[in-house]
Amino acid sequence: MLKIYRVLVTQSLAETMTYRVTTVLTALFGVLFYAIDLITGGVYFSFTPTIYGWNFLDYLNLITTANLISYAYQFLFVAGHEDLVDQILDGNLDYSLLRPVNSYWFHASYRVDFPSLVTLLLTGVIEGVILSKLHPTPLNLLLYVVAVIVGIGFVFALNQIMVTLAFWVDGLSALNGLPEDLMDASARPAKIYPRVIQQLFLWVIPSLAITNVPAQFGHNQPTWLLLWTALVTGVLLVISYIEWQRGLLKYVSAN
Amino acid sequence: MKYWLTCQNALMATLAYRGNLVLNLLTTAVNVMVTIFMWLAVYNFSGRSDIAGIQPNQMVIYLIVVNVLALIFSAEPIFKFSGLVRSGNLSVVLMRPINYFIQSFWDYLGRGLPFLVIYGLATGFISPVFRRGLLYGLGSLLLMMLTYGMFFLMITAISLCSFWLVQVWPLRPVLSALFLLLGGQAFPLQVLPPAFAWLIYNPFSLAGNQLTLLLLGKLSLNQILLAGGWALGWAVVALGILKIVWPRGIRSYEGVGS
Repeated sequence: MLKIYRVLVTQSLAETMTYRVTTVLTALFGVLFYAIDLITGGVYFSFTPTIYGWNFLDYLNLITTANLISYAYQFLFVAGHEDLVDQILDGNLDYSLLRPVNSYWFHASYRVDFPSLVTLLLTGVIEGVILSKLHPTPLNLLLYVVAVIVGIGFVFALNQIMVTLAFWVDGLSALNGLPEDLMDASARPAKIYPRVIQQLFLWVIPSLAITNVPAQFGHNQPTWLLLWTALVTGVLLVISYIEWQRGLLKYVSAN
Repeated sequence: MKYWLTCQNALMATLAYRGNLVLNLLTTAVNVMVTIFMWLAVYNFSGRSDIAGIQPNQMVIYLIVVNVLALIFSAEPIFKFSGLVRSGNLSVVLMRPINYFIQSFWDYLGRGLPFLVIYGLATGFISPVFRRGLLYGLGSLLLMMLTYGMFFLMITAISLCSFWLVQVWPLRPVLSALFLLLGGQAFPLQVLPPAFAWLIYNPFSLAGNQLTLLLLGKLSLNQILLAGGWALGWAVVALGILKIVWPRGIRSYEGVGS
């Protein structure tokens, strides 16, 4: 499995090197929007030192962590997901279905998006600096890393579920941006939202928890919500796997 | 009359893709909600009822209106023109007995019409603009039209880079970012320190920030005149660029597509 993944990564790298300008531009735009987030945060906190107990550094920690999760998902899975919708709609899955590999994971990890690696590394370095100022205990730091990994799993599962819907409905491509919009809206302190919205996105679709939980571990405020997000992510992954298998039964080849 | 048909077609195109329109509005609504809740929290914790002359309820209206304006002032003509140059179909357009720029303007108007109607209704019902005397009302209307024309000319001037660039897609995120930051979509530019006051008269701010403040009744007649003057200035600059660059672009245009 690892050997196959290495080949897929090498192919992705070769493709990236072919479109060097695109790579540089995509990385630049990632940095640009992150910078806008930083400036906007700076404006908010120029009027008040804290918002619901979050100071500017905590806020930076939150948006940087949210970006870290988002770029890690983009680096590892987004190119595979974009490709998968086309493969399903064009009826081109035959070759991968014939291979002696797990088709779910083969398509999920079909390509890595190297331009996102640049922004991922940059965000990682900034987050490292922020964490060094927040001084989380080693246990909290470990749980921070766990929470980020759970977050990547959650974003992957949401997108996988959306993408696999292509087996049943075409023309849903516009909906594929919804998980991204949801995660963008979740990159804020949960408490700014009215109670109903908080409960909905902390417990039912825990996108707010996914961004807020690691940030809380970062500034030494451990929370049991991590267990809940891990559980929901696990359930979503199982759902996406079952959906994939059901989808394959609906699949019509165009070859 | 022939251009009016273009406008109608563009409007129909916007309304025909209802799914896209609804999703576009939904995404905008979510973004606006996020920003509104964040600003309300800022008001709450700063203990201020007024930030840069804007009260919390006015900030809510500001954020909604500036996002509607971001939909009105789209950069779509750039990508349409780039498509024409790349495919070589610009030749067909040039042979028609029409002025491409006038047609493009009516197309722009038609595409943005649903959002323009929303802005117009908000101006008519919420805003005090038309209750401050004839001169103020006329000045405001003139500023709106001038800014709209200026922004279209500016986008059109930018679109001419398609003659030399194969791919113009990178302009999409750049222009979104500029509107977000310089257009006052992320926050009203008035909240910035006085050292940044000069930013208010950039084309994006005139289109987003200033037209929203106008709707809120925050601009004095003098400020309207000043904004109008700047809009006119930018429009002249854009026209100048169009006049100089268009003939050069046409000379370098091969007409066969890529």
